Amino acid sequence: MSENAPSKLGVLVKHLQKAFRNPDGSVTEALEDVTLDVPAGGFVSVVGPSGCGKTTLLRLIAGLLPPTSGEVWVDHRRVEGPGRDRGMVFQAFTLFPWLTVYQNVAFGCRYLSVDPQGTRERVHGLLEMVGLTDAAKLYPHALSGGMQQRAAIARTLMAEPDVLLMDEPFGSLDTQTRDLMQELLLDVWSRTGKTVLFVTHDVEEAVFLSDAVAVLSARPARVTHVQAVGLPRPRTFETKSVGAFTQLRASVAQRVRAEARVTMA
Amino acid sequence: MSLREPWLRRPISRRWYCCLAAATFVLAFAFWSVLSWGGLVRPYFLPDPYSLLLAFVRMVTEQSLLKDVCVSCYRAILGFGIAAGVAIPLGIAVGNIPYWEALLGPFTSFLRYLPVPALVPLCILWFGVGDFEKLVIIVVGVFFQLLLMVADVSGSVPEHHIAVCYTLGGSPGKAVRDVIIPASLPGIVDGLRITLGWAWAYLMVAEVVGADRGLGYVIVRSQRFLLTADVMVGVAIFGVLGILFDVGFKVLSRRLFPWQQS
Repeated sequence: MSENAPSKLGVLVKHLQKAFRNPDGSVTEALEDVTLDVPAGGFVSVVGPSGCGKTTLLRLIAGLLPPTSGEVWVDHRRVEGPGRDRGMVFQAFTLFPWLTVYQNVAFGCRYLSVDPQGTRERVHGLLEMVGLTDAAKLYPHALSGGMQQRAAIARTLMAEPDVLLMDEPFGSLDTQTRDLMQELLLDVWSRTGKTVLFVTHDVEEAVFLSDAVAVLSARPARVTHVQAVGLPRPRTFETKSVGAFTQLRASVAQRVRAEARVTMA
Repeated sequence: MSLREPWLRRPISRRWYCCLAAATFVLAFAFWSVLSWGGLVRPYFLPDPYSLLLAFVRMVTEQSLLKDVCVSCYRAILGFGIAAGVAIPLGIAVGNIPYWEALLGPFTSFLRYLPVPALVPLCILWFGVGDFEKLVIIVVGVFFQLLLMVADVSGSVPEHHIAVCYTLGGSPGKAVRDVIIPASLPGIVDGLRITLGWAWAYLMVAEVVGADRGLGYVIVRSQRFLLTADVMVGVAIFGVLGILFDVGFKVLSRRLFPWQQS
């Protein structure tokens, strides 16, 4: 499943804490103390009630935000800022509107030294993997949401990251598209062997995709539970109706719901 | 009764559009013809269309009108180019680097409310009535407005586009070059189109007040000799050049940014 050498460490999040200072001087605590381990080549999801700090956690790991305290390690290196080793896919549609699909994907290796011939081959390979070969010359405004997110995934892979950070990438898509995208992502993951940390508020999605699902508490976030998902792979749409799957989903949903109630109270 | 769309924003056919657009021009021309040829207004207030044509031909052949037009275009384009050349990079800095915003934002917001025509006497006092004074007027009139437009456009490039660049290995400098500039280019070109119109208008103000060459000078000189037809020719050329610049920018914009149409 994984092409990574056994010495690789994946992502290690150690006692991460993040507080924001508001313009009025007050302080909002987003993360209280988050510790998380994503083994190399593994697929871990993070779920939690809305507004609990899932996105903040991902941005901290990406290095887009500095933590208040604690640290993130990616494969023996301490994270000190954004870097190409951690590719990120966002919930918002982030393709550059001034570039075609082909150019967007090629942008992924803009800061790598790859010869033009190699770039062309890799872009075509990735476009084929995400089923966008025919859309290569289109501009993003002509694409559906699902196509845009597939192109965004291809662009991220183009930079050859060790880790894929995914921030509710299918959150803005309709249910049918989302189901197909989940299967496509599992296919891409099994082919590339990347380490994936996937944030979502959709428990079914998390259980379906992951080796383990971490449940965050209401804000300020802590990891309240890590649920291992032992369902066999490859998983397909039918997996979602298997008894073991529905039980896991119900049990994780129960925990998220308990945290969501804290927010409501 | 057949089903009808509500009249608000209901599209009309291309043919209707052209007919109605032409009708306005024809109507205006007819109104002018009736007033002048009909003898309702005296010729030195409103010359008839034919006299205007004659005046135009005489001005081109005998009075080097084209030379004056070229002088005006040269001043407008040079002044505008200088203003744009400085305002665009500074605007990008003001829109994206809070230090620069603090340094220049509030000051520029204050300066841009200076009424440019009111600066003409001061500029003549300081710089005389040569080309330099005209350039100063245009630069002052365009620079501050354009700087704020560019700051606004480049500062509203979505954060996530910049974040994408960082996570692909880009630095802040590369994010400016590869994301912020291409993303805000259509908005910048649009700002150029709008401010070029203003540069042109401010130049006329400057040329009308003190000049010995240029289209504005032609207009005042003709007015002094009560050559109303010549005045109107000058004004018409001014309008035609303005619209040519405007259309030019629009065409350029459509050519350069095919991704913009959605």
